[in-house]
Amino acid sequence: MTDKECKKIIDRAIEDNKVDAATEAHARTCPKCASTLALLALLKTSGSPTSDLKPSAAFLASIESSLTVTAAATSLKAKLLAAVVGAALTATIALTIFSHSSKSETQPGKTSETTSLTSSTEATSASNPAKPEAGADATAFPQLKFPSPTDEIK
Amino acid sequence: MSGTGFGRPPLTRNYESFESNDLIEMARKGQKQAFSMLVKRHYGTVMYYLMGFGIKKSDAEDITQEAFINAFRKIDQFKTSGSFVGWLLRIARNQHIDKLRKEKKFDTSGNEFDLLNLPDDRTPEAQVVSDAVVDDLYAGLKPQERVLIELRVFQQMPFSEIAEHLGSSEGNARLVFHRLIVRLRKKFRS
Repeated sequence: MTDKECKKIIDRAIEDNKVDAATEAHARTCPKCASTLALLALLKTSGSPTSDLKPSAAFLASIESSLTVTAAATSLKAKLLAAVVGAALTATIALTIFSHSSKSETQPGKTSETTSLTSSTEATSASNPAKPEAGADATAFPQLKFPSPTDEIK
Repeated sequence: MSGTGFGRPPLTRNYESFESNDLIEMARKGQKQAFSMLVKRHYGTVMYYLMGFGIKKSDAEDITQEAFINAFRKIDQFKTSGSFVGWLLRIARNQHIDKLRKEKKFDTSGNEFDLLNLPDDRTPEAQVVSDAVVDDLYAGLKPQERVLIELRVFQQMPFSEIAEHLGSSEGNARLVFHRLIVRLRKKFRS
């Protein structure tokens, strides 16, 4: 196998974070890849080369105090937003109730608003001036006139 | 720290056992301790990354601090499908560039890294000491090389993304990584 193919195998092992059967089989015949895989396993177990630098206690304390300020500001923002949304909701509900109550005051015949679909439809029909009511004068509305089928024979 | 913080977790919680994604979720809910664990985990990578630009350790620490605070502020913007370390490094680099701009030292023409000609700011004494410790594979690695191993081996980052962070081409990042592996392998064998 060429060097390029060996690199591909190593890259795949790193990306998958495991050694598959094909890589294992290759490593048995390629001492370079076997050595590289052993090295990678060792690196993984010994930890990252950047982990030797640890933050000092002062650094962490400084970060944490900054985070407190940041988080407090965020929390305040969230609380403020919640308060604004709450106030807006309350105002909307209050307005809806007020408008409903003033509507029912203008219709003295109606004592209560019903929730059933039929009653609601009836109520809508009752308030609709375009719909003829039972017993109303039908001649007041335009009537369609079709020629009689016997007209042609005549 | 005060005992009445928001989203304060139980004191007995051991953050070391948590995966980074879990810590990120907790940090999003305002848990400072979870974020502090992320700071502890990735401090070295950000520091070495900045030192790779030739920044002094004390300056790198200031930028790292700002970068972490910024990361906490913007943690809601982080997409968990991406790499947290990559995101952190991007913030750190922007922080570094902002600092240079403020100091009017930012040179847009030559801000790219040449991975093949990494600056080695170790003293000759330090180099001798590092080389003497043959059993320590990491000794003698330059900051940028450490970051390269961290990103590739530990974060499984694709070369295209590594190249983006290191300001290099994908091919160059791949070449340097494999050369580094050969070097470490030789050291490992010996």
